[in-house]
Amino acid sequence: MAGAGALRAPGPSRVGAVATYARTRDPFRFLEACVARFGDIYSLPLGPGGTTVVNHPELVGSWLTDYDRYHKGVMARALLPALGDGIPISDGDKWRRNRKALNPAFGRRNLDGLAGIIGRSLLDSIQRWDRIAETGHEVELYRELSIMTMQALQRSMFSSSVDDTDCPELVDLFRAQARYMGGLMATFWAPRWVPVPASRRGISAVAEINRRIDDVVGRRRAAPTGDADLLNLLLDIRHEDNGTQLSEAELRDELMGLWFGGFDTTGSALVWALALLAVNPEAAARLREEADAYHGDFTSFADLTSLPYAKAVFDEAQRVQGALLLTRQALVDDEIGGYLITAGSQVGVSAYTLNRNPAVWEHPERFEPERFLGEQRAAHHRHQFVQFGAGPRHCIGSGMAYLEAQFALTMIAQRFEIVTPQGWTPRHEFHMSIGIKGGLPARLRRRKVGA
Amino acid sequence: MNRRITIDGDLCQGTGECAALASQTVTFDPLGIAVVQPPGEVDENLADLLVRTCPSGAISAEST
Repeated sequence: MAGAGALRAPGPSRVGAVATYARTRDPFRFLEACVARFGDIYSLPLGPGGTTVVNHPELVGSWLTDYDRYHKGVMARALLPALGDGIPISDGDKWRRNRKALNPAFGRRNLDGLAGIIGRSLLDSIQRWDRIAETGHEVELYRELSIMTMQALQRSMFSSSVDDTDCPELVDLFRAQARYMGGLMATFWAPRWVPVPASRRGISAVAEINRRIDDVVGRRRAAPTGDADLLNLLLDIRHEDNGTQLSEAELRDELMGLWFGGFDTTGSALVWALALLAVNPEAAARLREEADAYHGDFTSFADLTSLPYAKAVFDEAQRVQGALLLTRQALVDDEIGGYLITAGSQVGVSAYTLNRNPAVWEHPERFEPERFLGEQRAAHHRHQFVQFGAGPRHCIGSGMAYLEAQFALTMIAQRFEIVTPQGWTPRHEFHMSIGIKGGLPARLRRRKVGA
Repeated sequence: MNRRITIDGDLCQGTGECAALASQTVTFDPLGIAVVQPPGEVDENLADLLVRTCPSGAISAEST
């Protein structure tokens, strides 16, 4: 509810924002400059009615969790040409109906059934990494990790209906799609005549991914399998209200959303984890200790309870990685931090700056997975870490992301040390998630057994 | 007035949204599935919030 006389949060004018961006030449520096000048709540001239950006957990509240008053909104809708109208960006009754229909497939008990598929896929990929280690050559590990992530995701979605040899090409297609989505997001506020960066290759990549989805769905319908994969779970879905299945368009859009979401976000977060472990030997040593003590076979979700440090590494890596802007669109007038939020305007949080706020995180520049363990973790504010969103629109794939990440980090720690060039440090690069500029150049050093 | 909440373990995605709102009422099993701690009764406003916030649609509330 908006109080009488409340004003909009301070912030740069459109000209001021363009000038600041021109000076910083980088979306992350731009957001840091806004925080430095305006504090923990400011407004940007982005989208209809502008966008109020908050930078403190106390200011991340009902706007993120109350879906009756805040929808995903216009910034997410800008991604429609690239992502389709699946649950990552749909809104209103369509989102409610499809999220409800998809929810059972992502319940922990169902994911437990996928754990074996993911575990086996990761172990197969690790054999490829063994061969890389034997060469002693430096490789671009972001790409290798992307292929590993893609293979695990592809098998968990489509199992025997797909070929692992397609994964490198799929990685390229999804990267082109991600850059296109980054372009759509960066220009969502602009007039239609403004060209969308990376659109030509992106549109072509999206068409090819959709063709592959149609192909695998067509083959599965022609020759059904009993595989416990996501495609079969989605084919079995019945809407609760009238018992109908997902339409062909809904099925394609949901598969596109799940495929992209599962690949780009998990892959980019994992590469941040490996990069930060490479330059933080104490954390890497502690992870190896936990990994060496694990004697499971990577087939059960319950095994994750034996791998808390791997989870903490993944969370801390995501904290350092951050995210550019998570937004919602107000359906009614509201007030946040004493400032007016008009209906139709947007509210957002940049996890990039929030995760570096020294009032919230002690020594935010340090990589310290211990922040996400025990009492330190318990002392976090509910909205201190919003990498997977919060409330009813909390990422549906977060459980699957942790499953894959904890297994992958443990397997890698059991077998390899990641050796980056002297003095190398990761730098942020925005595509859709946040990647690493120039990738992760590294050698894989095979650990000595019993070392 | 209090309401009794129940959690459908087949739906729960283990996001922890409920535990962040009602840590005394919710715990987790080894798979990370939320489980209601007896007696599982909470204030009706909190019960409504838990039902509306759960991303899995796993929580329901009934009058006691």
